[in-house]
Amino acid sequence: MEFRLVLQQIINGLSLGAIYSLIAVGFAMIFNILKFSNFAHGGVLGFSAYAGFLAATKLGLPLFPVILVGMLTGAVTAVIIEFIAFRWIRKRNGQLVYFFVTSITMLMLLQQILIIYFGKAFDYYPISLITPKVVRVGEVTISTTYLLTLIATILAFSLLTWVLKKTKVGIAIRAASNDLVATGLMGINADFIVLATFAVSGMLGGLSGVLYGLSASLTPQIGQVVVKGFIASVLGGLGSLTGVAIAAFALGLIEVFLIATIGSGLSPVVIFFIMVVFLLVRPQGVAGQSFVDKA
Amino acid sequence: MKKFHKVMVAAFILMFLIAACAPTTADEPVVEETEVVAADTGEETTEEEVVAEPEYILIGNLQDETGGMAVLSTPLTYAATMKIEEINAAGGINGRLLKLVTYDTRSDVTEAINAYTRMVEQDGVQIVLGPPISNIGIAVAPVAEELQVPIVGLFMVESAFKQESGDPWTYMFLGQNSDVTQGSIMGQYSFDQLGVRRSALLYNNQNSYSAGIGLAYKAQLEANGAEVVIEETYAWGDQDFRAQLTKIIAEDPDSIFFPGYPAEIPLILAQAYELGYEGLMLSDNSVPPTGLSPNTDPEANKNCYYPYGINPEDPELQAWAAEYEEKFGIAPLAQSFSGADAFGLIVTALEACGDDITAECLTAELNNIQGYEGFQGTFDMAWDHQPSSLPMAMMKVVDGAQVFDMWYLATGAVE
Repeated sequence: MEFRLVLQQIINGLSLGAIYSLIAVGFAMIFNILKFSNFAHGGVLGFSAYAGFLAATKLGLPLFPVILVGMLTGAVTAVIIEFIAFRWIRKRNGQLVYFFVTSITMLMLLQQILIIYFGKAFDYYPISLITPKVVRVGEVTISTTYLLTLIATILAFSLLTWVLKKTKVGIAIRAASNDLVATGLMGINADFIVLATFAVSGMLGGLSGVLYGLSASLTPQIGQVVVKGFIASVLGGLGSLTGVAIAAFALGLIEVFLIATIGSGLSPVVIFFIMVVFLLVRPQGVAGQSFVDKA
Repeated sequence: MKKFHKVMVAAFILMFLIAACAPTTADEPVVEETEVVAADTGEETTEEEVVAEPEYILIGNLQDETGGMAVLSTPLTYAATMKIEEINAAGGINGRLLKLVTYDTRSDVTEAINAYTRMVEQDGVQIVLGPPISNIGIAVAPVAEELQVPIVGLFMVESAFKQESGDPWTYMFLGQNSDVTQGSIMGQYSFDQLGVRRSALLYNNQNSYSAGIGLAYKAQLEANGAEVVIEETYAWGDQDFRAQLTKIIAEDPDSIFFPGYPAEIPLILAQAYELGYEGLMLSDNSVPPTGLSPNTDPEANKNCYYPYGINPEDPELQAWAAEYEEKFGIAPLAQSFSGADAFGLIVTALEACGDDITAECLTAELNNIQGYEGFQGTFDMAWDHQPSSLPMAMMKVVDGAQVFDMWYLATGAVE
């Protein structure tokens, strides 16, 4: 493969990886606190993508308000899910497997609601939202959609880092990720911390929903892309947000190069094989911590 | 906090109930599963008069009303509904009115087989308007061979109406050009009229329709001495085609031919444009539902060509299209016109059978159809149950609008 081609595929891979990283970090935040894989995050992503779509088509809002609508919808949906689905299990000290099963049930429920409203057909965000233009950098081309995704991802992660390191809520979230029970015993309101984590995770889900919706066709099953976030989380290590984000970018690159070499049909097989190897050999991922009760 | 919790739960339940009461589609009229079209004979009746129950001819309608391909399937139901209203208003066929018995396949082959079996065995239909989805056609063909009730549909893949031996399935009839014919016509047109000598091919190798058109295109191009310089594939559900497109663009082809479904076409078009490709973008008759909508950048469409079943600029079609749009609140697609043609073949067979409305007679008459004048042209049913020598309208995009270029056959332009 010539250098120019490799460089273009790297851009393609990073573009895909940027979306995956937003999904994966939102996904991993819940794991850090409650220690289970929250597949309902896919439903949050789907709801947000459609909320952004309605804001753009029915209200005619421009890009940035549409993104804000998506993020707000993500936060509200995630908080509602925490209230109605997970809080009861947590209050009764339910096993992690209950969280896991409930999260998948919530994903399916949210998808079904979208199917009822929008049917199984597909929609597209209006082109007026962001006109696809080509930016040429030397031999490679970069699309405006990719630049938007990259800038939004960098901004979101910078803001998240600031919140987690500099604000009281953020510090409490970090403390809770070490031990939620102990954090509660220290006088911090554990319910509020869990709620705040779901809200932040939902905002990331909302952002990724709108950004993914901009570059894909919109279907009620759009949230199934959360599987890519899960794979990135396994590879990166669910205990480390930085590890997860880097693994998501790596996953985007791996996927693009696999499609370019062995084809689109076989590449998922290889990716799942890599994930299985990680689960067997290094379940804590590259940068994560080991969890005995991982579900 | 407990109170708040209860309020949130109540709000969610309310939201769910609202969702459950919502219409199945956002903007389109809802079509009932079994639609009864009332007769309008123009005669006045009084309350005292006893109106006899009219005798109906039942026509099965196997369509994807709520599944992923509803956008292509619903136009057939609409077209058939309009045709039935016209015929019933004129007194029906031999004094018998037509009634459509519609079942939703939900794009699912099992649902489709169950629906076909039910409409034949329980509802007693003698003929069926089939779907535009090839996978459904392929699945139903062997069942039709057992239940012996003919289906006229738009399933373009040859295996939906032909057996492995090359002989046609006895009861499967095609109401438009096949995938192979479409691919061959596109190959000839792009070679003759667009000067394509080095083309790239990008198709879904898990979709027999996409692969059928793509491979026929390649064969036709190569038969003319041109070549497909790179052949790339994708899978169901793929949303990102940039890895394949990057490889394709590196080969610097004259054109990219990407036959597929409406879910993928606009994405491929936009992503090729985003990667800086400025050559010809050639696709199939699935382009119009989404590919040329306002949601696609007109700039990305400017070098786009595709084959179509009809010439939308034909004034005769425009009158019917206006009536269709007024009735259903949505502009017709090519499938509306080809669906009307498929239904027209059914009506021709019904008229030929007269009082002998049996599946056996209808099958025989479908085999005999010659010179039926439809929206797509003149139909002569070939021995293998597809129309012979039906041309396709070649369409190009000029300033964001779809413009008719010329009628074309695999042998060249139609005078």
